[in-house]
Amino acid sequence: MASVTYEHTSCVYSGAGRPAVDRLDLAVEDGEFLVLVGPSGCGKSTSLRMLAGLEDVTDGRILIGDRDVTEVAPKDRDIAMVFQNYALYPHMTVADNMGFALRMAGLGKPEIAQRVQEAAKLLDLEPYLDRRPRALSGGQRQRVAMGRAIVRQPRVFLMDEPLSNLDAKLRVQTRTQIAALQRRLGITTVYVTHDQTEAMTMGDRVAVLKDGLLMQVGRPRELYERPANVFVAGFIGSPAMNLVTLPVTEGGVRLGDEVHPVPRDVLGGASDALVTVGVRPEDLELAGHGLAVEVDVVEELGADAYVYGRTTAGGEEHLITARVDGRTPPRKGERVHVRPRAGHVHLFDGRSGARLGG
Amino acid sequence: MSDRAPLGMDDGRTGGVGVRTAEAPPSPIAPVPEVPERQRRRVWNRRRGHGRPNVLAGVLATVWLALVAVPLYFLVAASFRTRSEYLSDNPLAPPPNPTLENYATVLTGDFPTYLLNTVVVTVATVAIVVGLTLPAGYAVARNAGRVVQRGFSLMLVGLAIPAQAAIIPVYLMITQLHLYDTLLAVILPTAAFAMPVALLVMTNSLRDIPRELYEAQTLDGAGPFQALRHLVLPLAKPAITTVAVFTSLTAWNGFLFPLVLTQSVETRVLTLGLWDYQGQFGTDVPALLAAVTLSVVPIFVLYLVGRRYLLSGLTAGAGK
Repeated sequence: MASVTYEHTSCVYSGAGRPAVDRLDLAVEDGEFLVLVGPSGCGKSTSLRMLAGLEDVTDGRILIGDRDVTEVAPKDRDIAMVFQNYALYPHMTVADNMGFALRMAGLGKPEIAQRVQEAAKLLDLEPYLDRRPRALSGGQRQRVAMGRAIVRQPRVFLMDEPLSNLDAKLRVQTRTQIAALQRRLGITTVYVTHDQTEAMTMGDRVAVLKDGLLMQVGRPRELYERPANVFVAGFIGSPAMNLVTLPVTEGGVRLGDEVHPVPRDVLGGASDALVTVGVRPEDLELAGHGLAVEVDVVEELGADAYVYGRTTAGGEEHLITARVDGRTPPRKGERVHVRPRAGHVHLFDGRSGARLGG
Repeated sequence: MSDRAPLGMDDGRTGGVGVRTAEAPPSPIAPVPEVPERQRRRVWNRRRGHGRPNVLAGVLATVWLALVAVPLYFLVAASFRTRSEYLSDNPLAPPPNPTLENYATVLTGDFPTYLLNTVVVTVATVAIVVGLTLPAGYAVARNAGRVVQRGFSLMLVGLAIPAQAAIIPVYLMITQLHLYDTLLAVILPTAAFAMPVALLVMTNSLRDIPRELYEAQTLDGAGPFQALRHLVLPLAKPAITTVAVFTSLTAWNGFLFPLVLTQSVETRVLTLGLWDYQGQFGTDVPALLAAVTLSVVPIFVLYLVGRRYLLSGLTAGAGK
């Protein structure tokens, strides 16, 4: 068991203009499940691969526990990795796949067999130990990849989008299984995904990256309730938050026929200030007045319905999503008014995108 | 449309997409018109090349088969005839009194020596070529460094150099090395000239091994040499077989190097031996043909055995 610390860690690929990971500072606590999430090319996989030792650290360092592993060979870092494509050795049986690292480490046959057996039991793989990977289903291969990591009893698990090759239903099941298994084993885990739902449901904490920069790290609820900037606000949550950039007038921003007040102190006094107003679809309610929305599409999900429409604010047209009661949704083409629930409006600096106020 | 096809028809190779463009509107969202089951099946089969037979291809294939098979048949059939029968009978009729005397004549002569020499040359050549191109291909596939890649390009230049063009320098080198008239004199140049193609095949095959497998090996604690032993060697079996079969054929049938670089009966290989028989058995064509048949059999068997691996899948099951 160990913590993982990135200290100003950067990775620059030769020939690339900007760093793939730019001075990352991140501390993963002992036994924690940390999810790295972000759009493709954000540096999340590179961060993980630096921790694995598959990518060179250009600058800064990485610690596992108190030990600086920046220059340590991958096999001596006491980590185990689950690859996106599982990377099972096609010519070996499941048991040989799982025991290979132990064999390389010079363990005796009886001990390898015992540890493989234990891991197989944990993952319901016992009937398949003599099979080759090609004779397994996708879900089983995924479990073998997990098992290969577990038998090593590492101090840190690294998982690189391990669920992206499963179908939707299996992905949801396996998501729960992996999270439960990690709690049970209590091994520090760094998990990479591009799927914000996976990040929110699995992680003790979630780190959001964009363009090689760490945007925010925190518990899922923190990210949801207090996104640190426009990017995190738009990335976390499904459907995405409504974000509208508006000029500040009359001490607030004009939303239709109402003015949402913006406290003077959060603006820093600038009179021509632009703010980005963010409201989650579930925090918009139908009302008699407020923002006029032309309904384009209504998605009825039973209990809820999502209304997708257009509105005009600040002289520009914006797309708006709102969650409404599923029993009485508005109809397509209808014109309705929505207003944010009090206390659920996020304000961001219109230029820098940083969160304003509390 | 592929979703509607009966189960088991879609083997994954025939994309439903191709069928869709042939029959249905291009948009996947648009409703698929109801096509009667029989008609749909026929479309499917035509796409897969079953159903309506391709007459032209069949005729051409038959002609080609005849062109190849008739001389082979003649070769084998004539080797079982006596000399007088060979001169008098219809050459394409089966031998009326099959005899093994031609084979006896051949096998009691120097033929066993020639055969043994050829086997030694072939095995040694294959061993050298496989033993060197496997690690070389591994290096080229995994090391993007300038030296390795330039070296690879240089090796490939060898593809363009015919052995005939280099035979005089090769002869000089072999004599300087005092290897003239030894089997090694045949083995070394044969291996060298087989190397570029073998390296190309090997490298391309090793490049198909997913990068993640190498990375998994690294994390599992296998160094470059252990990865070569535990990952590359098992996964390169099809490539090794291909290279081995191809190189064997070259070495077995090699004529120029033995002709120029050997002289005595002790170092004579089959190809030269057969040539020799032309004079020796000048009027005994059936004996010559028996020797030819015997010289073809081993390499033919090797090909039949190796063929099974030539096209087999390389990394099935590694990924999703």
